[in-house]
Amino acid sequence: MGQSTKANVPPPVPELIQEPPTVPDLLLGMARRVPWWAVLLFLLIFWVGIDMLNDQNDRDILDWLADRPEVNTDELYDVVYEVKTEVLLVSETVRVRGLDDTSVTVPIQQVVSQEDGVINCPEDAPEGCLSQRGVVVTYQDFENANRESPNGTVETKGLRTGVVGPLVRVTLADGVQTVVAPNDILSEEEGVLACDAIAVPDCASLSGQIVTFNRPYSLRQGIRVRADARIRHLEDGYEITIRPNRILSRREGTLECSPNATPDCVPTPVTYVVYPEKIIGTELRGDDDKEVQVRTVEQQTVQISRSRIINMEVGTVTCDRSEDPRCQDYEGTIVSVSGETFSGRLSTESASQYDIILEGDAEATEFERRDIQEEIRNPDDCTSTDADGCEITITMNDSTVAGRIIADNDSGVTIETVPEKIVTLRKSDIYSTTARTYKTCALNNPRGCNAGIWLTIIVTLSAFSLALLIGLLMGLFRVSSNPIFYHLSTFYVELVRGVPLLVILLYFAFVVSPQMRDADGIIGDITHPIYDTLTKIEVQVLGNESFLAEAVIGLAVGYGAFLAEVFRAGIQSVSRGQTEAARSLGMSYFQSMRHVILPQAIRTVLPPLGNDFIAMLKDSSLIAILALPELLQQGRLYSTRTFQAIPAYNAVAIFYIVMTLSLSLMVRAVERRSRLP
Amino acid sequence: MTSPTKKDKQIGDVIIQIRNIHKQFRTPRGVVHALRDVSLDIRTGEVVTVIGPSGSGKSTLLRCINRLETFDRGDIVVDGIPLHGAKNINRIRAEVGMVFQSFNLFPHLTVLENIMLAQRVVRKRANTASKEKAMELLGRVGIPDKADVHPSQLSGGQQQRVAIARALAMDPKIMLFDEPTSALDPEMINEVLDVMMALAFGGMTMVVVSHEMGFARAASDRTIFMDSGMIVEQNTPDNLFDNPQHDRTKLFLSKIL
Repeated sequence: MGQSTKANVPPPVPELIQEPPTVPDLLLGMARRVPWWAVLLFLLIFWVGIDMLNDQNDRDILDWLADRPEVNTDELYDVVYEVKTEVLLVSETVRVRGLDDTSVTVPIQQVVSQEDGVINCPEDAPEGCLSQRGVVVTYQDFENANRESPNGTVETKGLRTGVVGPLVRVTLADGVQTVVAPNDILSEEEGVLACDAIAVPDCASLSGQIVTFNRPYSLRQGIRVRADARIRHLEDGYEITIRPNRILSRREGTLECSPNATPDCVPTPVTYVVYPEKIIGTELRGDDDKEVQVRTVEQQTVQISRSRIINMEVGTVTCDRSEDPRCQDYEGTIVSVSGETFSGRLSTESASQYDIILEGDAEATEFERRDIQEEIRNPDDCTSTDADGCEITITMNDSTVAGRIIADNDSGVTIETVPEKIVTLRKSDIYSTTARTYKTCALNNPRGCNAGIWLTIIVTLSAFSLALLIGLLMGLFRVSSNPIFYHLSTFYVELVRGVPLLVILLYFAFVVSPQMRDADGIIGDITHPIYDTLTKIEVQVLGNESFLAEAVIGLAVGYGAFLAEVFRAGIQSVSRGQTEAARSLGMSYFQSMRHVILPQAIRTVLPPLGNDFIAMLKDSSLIAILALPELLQQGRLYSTRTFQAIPAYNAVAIFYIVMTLSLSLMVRAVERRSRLP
Repeated sequence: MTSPTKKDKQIGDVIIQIRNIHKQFRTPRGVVHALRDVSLDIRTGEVVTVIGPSGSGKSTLLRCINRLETFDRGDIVVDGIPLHGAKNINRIRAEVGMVFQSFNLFPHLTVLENIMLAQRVVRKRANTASKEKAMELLGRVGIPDKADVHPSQLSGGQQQRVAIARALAMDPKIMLFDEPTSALDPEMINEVLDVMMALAFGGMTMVVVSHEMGFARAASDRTIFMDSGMIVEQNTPDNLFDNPQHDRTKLFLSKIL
């Protein structure tokens, strides 16, 4: 009895003796856990890092910093200041024909007087000049002022021709746009224009400024279209056109007569408008609370062949204050350049210009007569009307180019003209400031620019976040019992999966976006508020308007369809029992989705999501077609600029590999952490 | 030592009223008539076991009581609220606990979180209160030491006990059990049945679909035999098992005994 009970007791199990692992074992274990391709990845990163440090562009930046111990890296960037600048609204213009048959458009503010009279030919006029009778317009001529009287303006006379004032653009009742000469306009009033239901069956009535105008045999009506505003800077007379929604405020005022105006000149009523003017430059130190000093740089590179250089000397470059009253002199090289010689067949000639068909060209090129130093005709004294044609060789005036020499070799010199300016801005006038890059973007200089890798990452991250939202929503719709949601999402998925991503990108950039830009269907008027917001973001990121938003939305919409299917599969992989258990506990549909189904579905879909993220990173190279300076585009630019395709595309490929392999590592880590016990 | 028996509890008013319900499933192969004109009253504190062959509609009947399954005609009134067209079905479901054959625990949550989730989300209890409740229930089902493990690390019997605790955490008035032991290894069946019996003797209204004869005899007040979507026979468990009236019942019992 005792024996048998003893036999039933199992022998004691010897306890496992655990020894602490040795250091070599630990290292071996860690080394085994790192995949071989991760080793490759780190080698690549190392290589790329060395390459970046060797880069000329980075060296320039480092040298530049070393020379200026007082600056910090903030000054690697230019800043775009938008300053509230008061300008003149150039509304009315007069078309004026001079004695030399050239017509110019003169803003009404420059007109000193208009009266019936005769213009007589000057004494040095070319032969064939005839005195002309008509409405003589005397106007301030800024163009000729620089040459003839540097400290003021000259007044030029001409005959008034054609239309006075700008053409008015109107939309007719049938939706067609047309232009109306201002002297055809009979009346203007606020109102609603009933639409032409016979011509256009489903038209909508338009409201706005109704213009009644003359057309042959009839009176017609249309709605005035707000046109872009033409503005003139007060300091330098520089004119540009801006969109009407950029105007911040308006003020009525008067423009005084110039000192040398005729006594009967009366001050002209004009409109001043304030708009945010862009000033790009580096902020200088030592500014006070009220003002900020900005150094603006507008460089231009000029190449001059050795044979044309007459003289080169180092000296003070005086800048042309008549062109830019805010400019300052600087030390540089002044190069005297002999005028270029052109030869060809004389096509037409007038008192002020020649049209010459140059050898090898099909079209005529215009040359101003005053720029020409010397001309040789063959046969002598031929004219453009001769039947045999008229060969002409012209030599242009000598000129000087001033600036800094950046390249000097056997073929010639390259000069960077540097009209460096210091502009003082009142802080209260600054409308907005945007950081912008200073250095040009090199392929492997991700620090210096908002392009290349940086843009690729930004686009991928933002597009994927958006795609996740779209995918989750559409995935939920795909498993919804509501037929509207189900069919809507199925339609979206099938539609988008059937269209190549490239086509989607082009569609968003060239079909959807222009439609949004013209919210009311009229180019150049009201934009959609979403479009305005997106444009603002684009300017923040890239410093200018671009297809960035379109690219991000296009990628997101394209990938949303794939992610919707991934989410649908994930949700359906969670067993029905889970829903039933959650619902039987009293949870609503959304509560059970949120707390029970989605947390499990997300774990299932993490690997395919990671794959899609990596795929999107690669597909983001497609946005190069929208001229966005992302990694591939930078590589292509580098390749075409330097003809060094091998290093360019090697670098592009390596950067993509570095990014995708790092992501793969991250996806693996996330997967391992989210795995259920 | 006197352990509680079913004699100690009190049977009260009708709490579940099932009136002439019909249910059809439309499948690609035709229409399956799962429930035909079933009527049943269940009183507070009563424990009803439902037996019957596979496909007899017993699970469907159970799932109709908390409207996991809809029915075509007739009506069910639970605790005074008619289910047909009830707007606040989630409130009724919170009062009716359900235990499934395949446990259906939430695998991404720990045992404690499984029990706390519905309390916090549906009952809007504070974190501490729901945790206290969960620990108390884990003690009642005998596994307070497993609070922080995930369901996949538990045995089948332990998982089903967590599922019972999860349903009890909502303080339901009625508990429904859909074959709670049929997915378990034989050695784990009893630990689940012990919990259920304790619940039954505590006065809980229970509807149990199960073929556990021992449980039916010991704990239930009434046993219902269903076949082809109809209630064929109902009686006290002892009478039904020992002295079946209907031929269909006799045939079925002869096969399972």
